[in-house]
Amino acid sequence: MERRNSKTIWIIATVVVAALLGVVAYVLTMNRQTASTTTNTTQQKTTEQQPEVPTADATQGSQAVTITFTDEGFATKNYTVSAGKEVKVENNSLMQLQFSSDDHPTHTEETELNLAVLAPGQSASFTPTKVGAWSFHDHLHDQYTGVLTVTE
Amino acid sequence: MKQWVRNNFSVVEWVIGGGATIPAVLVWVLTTGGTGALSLLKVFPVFGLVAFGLMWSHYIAGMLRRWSGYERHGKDIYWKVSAGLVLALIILHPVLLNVSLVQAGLGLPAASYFTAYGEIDGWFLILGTVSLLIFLSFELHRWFKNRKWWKWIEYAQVVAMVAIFVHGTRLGNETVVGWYSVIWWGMALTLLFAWVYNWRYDKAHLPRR
Repeated sequence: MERRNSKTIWIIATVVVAALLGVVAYVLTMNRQTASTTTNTTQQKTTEQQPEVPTADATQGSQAVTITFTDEGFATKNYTVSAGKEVKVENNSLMQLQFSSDDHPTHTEETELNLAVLAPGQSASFTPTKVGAWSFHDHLHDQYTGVLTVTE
Repeated sequence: MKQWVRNNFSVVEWVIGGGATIPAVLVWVLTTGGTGALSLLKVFPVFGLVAFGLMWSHYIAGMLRRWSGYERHGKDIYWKVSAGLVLALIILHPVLLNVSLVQAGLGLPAASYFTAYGEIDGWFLILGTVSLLIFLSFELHRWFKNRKWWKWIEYAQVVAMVAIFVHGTRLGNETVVGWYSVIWWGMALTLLFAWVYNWRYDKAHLPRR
């Protein structure tokens, strides 16, 4: 009887610990994905602020390019722009965005890409001058990545 | 089944180790691939992933050893190779990160962690550092494993494994990749089961320390 009670206690303890572990990790994962989204959640996004695709052809090169960030990450992974042309970054997600050059977290690969934190609905621009393929990410959710190729 | 495991224990260990490390390397390749040139900052995560997988394999192999009744005669090849590898990986993982942070002008830890990763995530790096120190303390077993207090060092390893799981869940890009997150969580749950099994088995079969 005592042995059976001990077994039951162990099963319950295991389930409780597993549940706690699950809750902790779930909260951590959720925090990671939605961190910093509460600062401006009441802000309504207009249709213009939420394009389904980048507003310029991201692969054509010579034109200015818009990089759109959504709740699922960057709308397109690869962008091409000519050196000296403007690149606009639009935050169309409900999260804050810190558009940054690789590597995470030092952002030293191409510092021209580094922008300040953008609140939901905000946008910012930069003009790349150095030719090359520069990978970027959102510093606040670094699983979201992309590559900007700057041509001559 | 037990007999088969007992007779092929070495093979079982290698399969478990491979099963833990191959997906870790694969998810790192898939996550890192196509994101520019390799750098220390892109390489260091895979060391942490593989180290966690190998440490997991030790606990699982330990459980299977107890369950099957396999009697280990000294340390076998898998144990020697994987233990050495784990030691190298858990040292390299933070060293590569810290070298990169210093090179980027962010200084030394712990301040550099908060500067680079922010106020919250910085603490999860500290958690990783504390876990590293606990893992390194296990290396003292050469001299102290027969001491009465050594069991506390072994218990601390379990705490460190939980801490490192939290560390990886929070900070790892790879651990949120769909298919790998299933493996990651599966490792956590099987680890939990192995701990309980091993603890109960040792309590019943080993002399009280």
